[in-house]
Amino acid sequence: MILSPPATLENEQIALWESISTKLVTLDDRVWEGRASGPGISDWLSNFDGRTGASTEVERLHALYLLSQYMYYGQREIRILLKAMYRELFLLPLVQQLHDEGVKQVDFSSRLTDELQRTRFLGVGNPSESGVHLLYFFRQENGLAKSNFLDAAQLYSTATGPVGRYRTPRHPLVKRYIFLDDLCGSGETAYRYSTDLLPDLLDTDPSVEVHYFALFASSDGLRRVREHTVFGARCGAVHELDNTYKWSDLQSRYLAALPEGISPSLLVSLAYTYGRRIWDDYPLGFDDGELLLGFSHNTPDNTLPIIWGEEDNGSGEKWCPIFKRYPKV
Amino acid sequence: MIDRQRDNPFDLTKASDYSDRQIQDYWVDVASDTESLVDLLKPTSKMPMLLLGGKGSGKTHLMRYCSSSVQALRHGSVREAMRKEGYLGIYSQADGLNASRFSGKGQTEELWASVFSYSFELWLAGHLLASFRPVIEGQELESAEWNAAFAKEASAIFHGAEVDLPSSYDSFIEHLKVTRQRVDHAINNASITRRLEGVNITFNPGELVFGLPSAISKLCEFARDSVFVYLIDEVENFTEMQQRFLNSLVRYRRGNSTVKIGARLYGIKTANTLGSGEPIKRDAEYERVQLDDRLRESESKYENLARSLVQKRIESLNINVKDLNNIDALFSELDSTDYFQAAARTITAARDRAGLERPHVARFRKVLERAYSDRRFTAHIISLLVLPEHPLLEKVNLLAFYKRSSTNKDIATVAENIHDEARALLDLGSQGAPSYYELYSHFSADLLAQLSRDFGKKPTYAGFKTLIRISQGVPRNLLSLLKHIYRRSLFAGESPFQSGPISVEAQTLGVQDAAEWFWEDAQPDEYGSLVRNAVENLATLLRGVRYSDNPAECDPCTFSLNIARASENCAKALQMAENWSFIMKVSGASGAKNDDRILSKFQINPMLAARWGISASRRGVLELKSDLAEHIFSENSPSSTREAISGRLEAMNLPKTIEAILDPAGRAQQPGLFDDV
Repeated sequence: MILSPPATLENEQIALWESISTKLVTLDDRVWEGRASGPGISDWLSNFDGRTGASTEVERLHALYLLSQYMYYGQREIRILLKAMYRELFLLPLVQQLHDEGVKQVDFSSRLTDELQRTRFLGVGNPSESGVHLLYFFRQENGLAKSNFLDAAQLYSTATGPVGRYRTPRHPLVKRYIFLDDLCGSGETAYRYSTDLLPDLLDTDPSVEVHYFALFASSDGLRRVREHTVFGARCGAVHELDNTYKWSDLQSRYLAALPEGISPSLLVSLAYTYGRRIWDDYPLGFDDGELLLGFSHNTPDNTLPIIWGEEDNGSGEKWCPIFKRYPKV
Repeated sequence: MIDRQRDNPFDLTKASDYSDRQIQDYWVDVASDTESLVDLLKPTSKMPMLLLGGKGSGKTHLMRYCSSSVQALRHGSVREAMRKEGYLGIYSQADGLNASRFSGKGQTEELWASVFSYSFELWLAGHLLASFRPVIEGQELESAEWNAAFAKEASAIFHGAEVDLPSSYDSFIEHLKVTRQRVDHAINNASITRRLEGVNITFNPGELVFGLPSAISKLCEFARDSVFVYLIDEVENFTEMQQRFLNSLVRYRRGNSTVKIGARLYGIKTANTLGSGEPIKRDAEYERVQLDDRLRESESKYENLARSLVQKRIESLNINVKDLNNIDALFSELDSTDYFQAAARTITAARDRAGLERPHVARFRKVLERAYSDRRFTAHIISLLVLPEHPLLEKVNLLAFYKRSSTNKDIATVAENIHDEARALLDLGSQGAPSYYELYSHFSADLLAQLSRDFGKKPTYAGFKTLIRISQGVPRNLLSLLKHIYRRSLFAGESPFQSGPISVEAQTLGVQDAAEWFWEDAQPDEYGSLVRNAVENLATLLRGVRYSDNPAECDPCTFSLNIARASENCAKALQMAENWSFIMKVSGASGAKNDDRILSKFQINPMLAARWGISASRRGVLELKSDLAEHIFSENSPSSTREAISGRLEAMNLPKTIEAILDPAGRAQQPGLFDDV
């Protein structure tokens, strides 16, 4: 039987294996959209072969526990989060701002419409990447018009002047640009946008607002965006991931209150030992992300590589992933 | 990733969630020549009925199957259905009335009884007219003359106080609706005003619900031979006072209409009526049918029903199934050949390979060596009883040893005989060692469960017949089992019903999931903790017996006790546990083993068996003496209950078993290995 507990485990460990398996059945059925059933998990477990010093069976028991902690957001959840992103990070602050400006009740609706017409939403990354991928659902869920969206290439047009060709904002009437991303891990993407893409826009019209919103953001990444990019205070996330979401952090939520028979040091060692074999530079995920998080459309590289690593995806050695990552290449 | 296989065909388990089409499509009958399920409800009989049953026993499905909207699906139209089936089913669910409103608010119970009766009749009559409307639509309904005649007949039911009586069928429906809204308004405002104003009762109790069918039949010839059946479901939601009115309707039923009442086992709070209060009489005034009991009584009927149920659900998947007529073949069973040799060896293989002594042998050795100082002697005894190639028979050997040694102190001879009998069984079959085989056949399931547990595994629950037995005549239980099994099977990478039978492991895990669901799903009100603790205690005892070294009974899931001696608390816990189907009464009382007391027999619901790894088959009956029963079912201190249970189990376990074998001087008199015995 697939995913049967190894018979050489102690009886208590077998019971724990079975109880974790039961949880995984429910997760696969209700949350993971059928992406990690028994055969897939068995293949993934076969990656662990006793390299931490613990027995293969005990390592696999710990890997199973690690998997049971994985946070997966399927299409339905992403749609709900996109709704929350629009309302909580964009609409409500805008409404508040209009109130603060003293807009009268009778004018409120038309003013809000006007503000919306002068807003453009953009995905972070090129059109094949996840930030842009979210725009379609974002538009559907929030009942927005196509005209509210742009891609980054449409930000500028090229003009010719005395000093040659130069970029000029294509939409001078637009008042605010909202950049949307699924995950802000290290803040690197937002930083690049801030330094490469947006300076000309802001130089031309310093009153233009640029915002950066992510569904999820690490506290460190968000701090970097806030302190070191043009987005400044105009950045936010629906769900901020503090250090308790880091796998091996001293405050890690995953290592607190473990069931009997699960060792925190082995959990940490497992992720590191095998992570190093997959991605030597970042055994715990890009820029030491240490996350245990994935989406239906992709698995971020800030997540532990033992989840998504595979040879075709740059792994140093043969590795069977449990949730695939589609690399940027 | 979602595909056809992921659509679990057993996902829908509650008939109240079905559409009319699903009620019709998922309907299966017991396929009996003598009595179908519809025959049980007897919709064409004017005799009122109480249709009782545990949760999920199929009451709602049966009642909705007989409702007019589903009748129409069967016959193309309600009119045709009435002609062919001889009745019109007027289905309503008691919770739709929001019955809890009819109390308090500063009003007397007597007043509420009147208001409830009035409102309830308006509600039922509304259902009747809505159900019958499709019958006359496009025909009588279009005739002004017919409408006027109906209005005249219907209005005659009302007292003269009504000034604005309707003039047509539809306006009569509207009139009932508006009148009910007025009553609702008065009731809702009574919580603020503390007065019940604006309710004007305009007909006598029973006159509307029984009068309207008579009026209709008078005007529609085709309806004269039909019975108007009020199918009132989930009556457990009614208070005692409200049920008294319902009972009055049962008593004063008249004309060509009747009442069939659906409720859970514990849902009937009273047999009394309003007014005189005299109770309604079973069989004279109403029939009582307990659906799950009826299905349990006839195993073959329920088996037929279960098989058809599963066939229908699998068919809904639209997949290619090898042989849908052979449902049993779709579910693997444990291989019992050679005394479960393969299954037992699979359990022990890994640790055998590691050179570890099997736990039951190690335990026996430890106790034996403590009792006998002669190592050669104990080694000899053990060597006679171990049977490495047949782990299950090895367990039988030890059990035989414990049982026989209590009457024969010559343990070396006992062990030698057992050794020989085991060999004879293997060589010659059951004829070669009849008494040994009898022990095996009684205890094999328990010993296999013990073996599994000793090696950290769960006992097996597999095979379609086992699933039928576990579901205990309750179709929803069966669907729930299959739902969880299907899910486990998919997760394990199997293609259920398509390529090969569902594995034993997937079934076992699914049965376990279903047991957890059953346990969590039941919400026994304010008695929750009393009942749950009692059932936990009971299961602890039964599990203790099953996994003991020398069980007093085989397959223990049934127990008997003297209810007459039970305390009020104990009896209450038993009653509540039965109401919530945690335990079930077993038909037929039995006498106590040592005196002439009459004991009542109960069984723990097999749906829960996997939760504690106890048996789902009913064989041995464990007698609970009054003091132990009190510990188990009353809210005693957990520690004293634990002690009482341990006390009961002590004699069945090592080392007590070995101590019983030895007489007080036994140790001194033990024979040497080479002594003449």
